[in-house]
Amino acid sequence: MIVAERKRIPELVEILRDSKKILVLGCGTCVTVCLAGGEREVSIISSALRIASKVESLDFEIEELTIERQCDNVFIEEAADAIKRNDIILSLGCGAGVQAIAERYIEKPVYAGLNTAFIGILEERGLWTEKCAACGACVLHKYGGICPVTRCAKHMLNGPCGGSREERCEVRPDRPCAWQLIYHRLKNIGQLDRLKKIEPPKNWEPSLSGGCRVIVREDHRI
Amino acid sequence: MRAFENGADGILVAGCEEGSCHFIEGNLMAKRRVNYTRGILTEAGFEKERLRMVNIGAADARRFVEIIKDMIETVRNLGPSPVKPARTQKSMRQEIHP
Repeated sequence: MIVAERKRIPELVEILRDSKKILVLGCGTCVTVCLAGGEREVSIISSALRIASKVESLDFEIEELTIERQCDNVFIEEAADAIKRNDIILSLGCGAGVQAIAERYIEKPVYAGLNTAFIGILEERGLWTEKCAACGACVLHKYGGICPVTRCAKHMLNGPCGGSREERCEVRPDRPCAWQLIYHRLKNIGQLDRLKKIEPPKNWEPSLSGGCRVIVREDHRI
Repeated sequence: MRAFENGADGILVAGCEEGSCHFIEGNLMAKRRVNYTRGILTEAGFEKERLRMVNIGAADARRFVEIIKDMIETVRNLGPSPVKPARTQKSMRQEIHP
């Protein structure tokens, strides 16, 4: 899922300083699961903004709403009336959600209330970790299902670098060495031979190097 | 948050004594969330001292009274909530005798 975290209240106050009628719009999908932009966070951030507004003698009038998915026009429709009633939309969706709302409502300013961080998983309660860089050319089958592009701090496709200490990454000692994980995993599934092959330089063309990416499915287009 | 938004001067959250909560670790989770909320209140420019969580045994009435007195003293020193509109004597009388 997409993992995000909330912007701090002083930054939001600066973004909204000249605004009056504000819709704080949550999203019921990824950012709800990562406790950043769901119904509960909409309520907490709205309360904090109302308090900050009174403390700083601003003039915020805040409405709260959470829709199922901000990155889908079908669900955005549910927010149509609330969007119409307000001057500004503070989206607690991911970057895709913010832009989907902005594209749909061209006359309304839409601001991001979250910092979208990465594609990842809930590793433990209250701990999310990045697992996928969305590079566009997946190599997971070669590395036992552990992504060196994302999880190795040096993005090494022919590792390890030799700098790890006690199975921990030398760049981020709080994280395990991805190559140690790859080694253990390939050993467990009987594919250690894969490590004898030299991986050629990765083709980065399907990544962000050529601007924003598009996927077309002609069989689904009307 | 809603209570502060509506003008509460202070909030004391009282949980069970550590280790004797009916909900096992519910009181400890509550403490973490209260601390998180204190952080958000600080970000909003609001005094975090107005929100406090204490853990106290059900039979420890004397300590409970001391904690409440201390909380009242803290709030009194801080003064009225900056969120609350200033109350006049007349409006206070109306609140007591509507």
